[in-house]
Amino acid sequence: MTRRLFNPLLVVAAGMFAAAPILVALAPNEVTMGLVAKIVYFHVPVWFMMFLGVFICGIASGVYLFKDKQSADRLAVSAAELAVLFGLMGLTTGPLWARVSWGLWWPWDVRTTLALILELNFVAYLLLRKYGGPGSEKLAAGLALFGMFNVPFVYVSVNVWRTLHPETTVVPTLPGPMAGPFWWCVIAYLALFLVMLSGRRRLEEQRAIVDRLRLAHER
Amino acid sequence: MSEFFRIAWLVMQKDIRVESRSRELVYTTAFFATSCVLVFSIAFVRGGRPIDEAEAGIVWVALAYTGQLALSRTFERELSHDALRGLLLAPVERSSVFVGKLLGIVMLMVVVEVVVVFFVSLFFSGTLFKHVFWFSALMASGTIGFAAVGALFAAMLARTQSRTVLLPVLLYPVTVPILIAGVSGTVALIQPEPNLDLARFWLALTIFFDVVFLTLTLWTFEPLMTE
Amino acid sequence: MSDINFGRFLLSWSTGRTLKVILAFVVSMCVPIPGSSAIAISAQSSQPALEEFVPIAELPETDRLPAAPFLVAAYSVVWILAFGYFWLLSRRFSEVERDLAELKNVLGDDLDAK
Repeated sequence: MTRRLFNPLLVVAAGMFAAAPILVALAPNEVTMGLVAKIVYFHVPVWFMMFLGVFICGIASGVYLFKDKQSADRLAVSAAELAVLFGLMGLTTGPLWARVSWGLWWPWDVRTTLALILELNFVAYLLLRKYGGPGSEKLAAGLALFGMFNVPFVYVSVNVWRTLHPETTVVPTLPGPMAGPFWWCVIAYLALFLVMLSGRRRLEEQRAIVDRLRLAHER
Repeated sequence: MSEFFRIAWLVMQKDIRVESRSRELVYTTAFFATSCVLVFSIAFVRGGRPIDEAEAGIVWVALAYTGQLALSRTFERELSHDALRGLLLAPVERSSVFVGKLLGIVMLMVVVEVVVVFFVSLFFSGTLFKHVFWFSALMASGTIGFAAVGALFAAMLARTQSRTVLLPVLLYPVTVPILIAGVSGTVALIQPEPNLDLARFWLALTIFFDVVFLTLTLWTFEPLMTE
Repeated sequence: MSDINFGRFLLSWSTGRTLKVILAFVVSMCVPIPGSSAIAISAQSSQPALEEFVPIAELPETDRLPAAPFLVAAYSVVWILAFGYFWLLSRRFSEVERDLAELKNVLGDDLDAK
């Protein structure tokens, strides 16, 4: 189904992204943080997408482990790669925002720190798949499952631990004129995420075909 | 159920017997832990005086490093003569084998921790013993959580290439909550005015972590170890 | 493989004129980067990061950093990463397609790809 939707989705994503900067520019400035708070329109949706990637990867890995479905594994690796990609986006935009708003590059904010730890977890997932040799898909699936279950623990522990650190509210409550562009961006990113996910899955399917043909050739 | 624990007990006994004959792991990890503590102490002592509450971090980092060392070596041992395959082929529940290995690793880590805590309290004038009960409870439950996740990963990686570099890569992101809880809980106990409520919160968090991740490891051990 | 042609679509990217158009777009997106990062670096050297949290509203006017370069830098990073990923995907796709064509050549017609 995602395949048939791919081209329309690509068009929608491109269109929404073309319109996003205009909407963001038109939205009013946030009162306390001013112009720089406009990073929120890109930063927060990116963070949502990272989480989407993490949960898709975790659930697909569980299905792969217990039901042994190859297609679930292909979905998991695609989602993991996207989680790392969007995590990278979030982790670069976050400090830029923090530096201007709070005078710190890294405020040890709970969400940012959680994102960093998840990013490490899923980079480890990709490293394991790349360097683990044969059979590493299963092990990586286990790691993804653990990473997903770790989310609440990391959140709670960082949240309590950093009370020694500055209290910061990252997402300003969004009044009406800001909410519109914000959700527009969220949907634009969702479309982008789905386009990338289906593309990456397709790649993985093609690779599986190549591997099968190679095996047939060697035989 | 009693069969489950009997098998686990036997596997643990086997590990302890192997270890007690060579004492390779105890000696090397205890020595490594001591040098860890020494290196960190040098980093955290300024002008002859230790930085406040540095010992909390030192104890837990030493625990994490030595734990990793012990984990990879315990499963590497099983590789000679294909002993791991033998263990997995035994006509018993696999999760009981896992629990046995886990118990062995926890015992080893506890021995090393005693050494670490001794040296840290020597270097930092015994502040760790302010609330011995809560401190030991925190150490115990932190060790169990760390060892449970670590034993599963080490067992998974035992047969793969480049396992020595991959184990820390996988282990530390997942065990971050344990390390945060351990360090913060210890700080709450040893600070000038101890905060017992906070320490109890961290203890509860590590126990909760243990329960969830022990369940998860027992649940995934079977499919993860099938080739 | 007629259902989507995603591979061929991306392949046409990597070889065709579209790629040049997209590359030109990416490059044009990158233009503000050197300037903004230079500003960010100079701002950093003149104003060291604070030791602790101070709400922006409480900072004196002179200590505030110019927001625009940071905003531009943040948006550019996101765009560059997104386009970089698409570029990476298209490269991997062309690799796989090449392997597939090669294998099909070697194996002949007796083996169906699907």
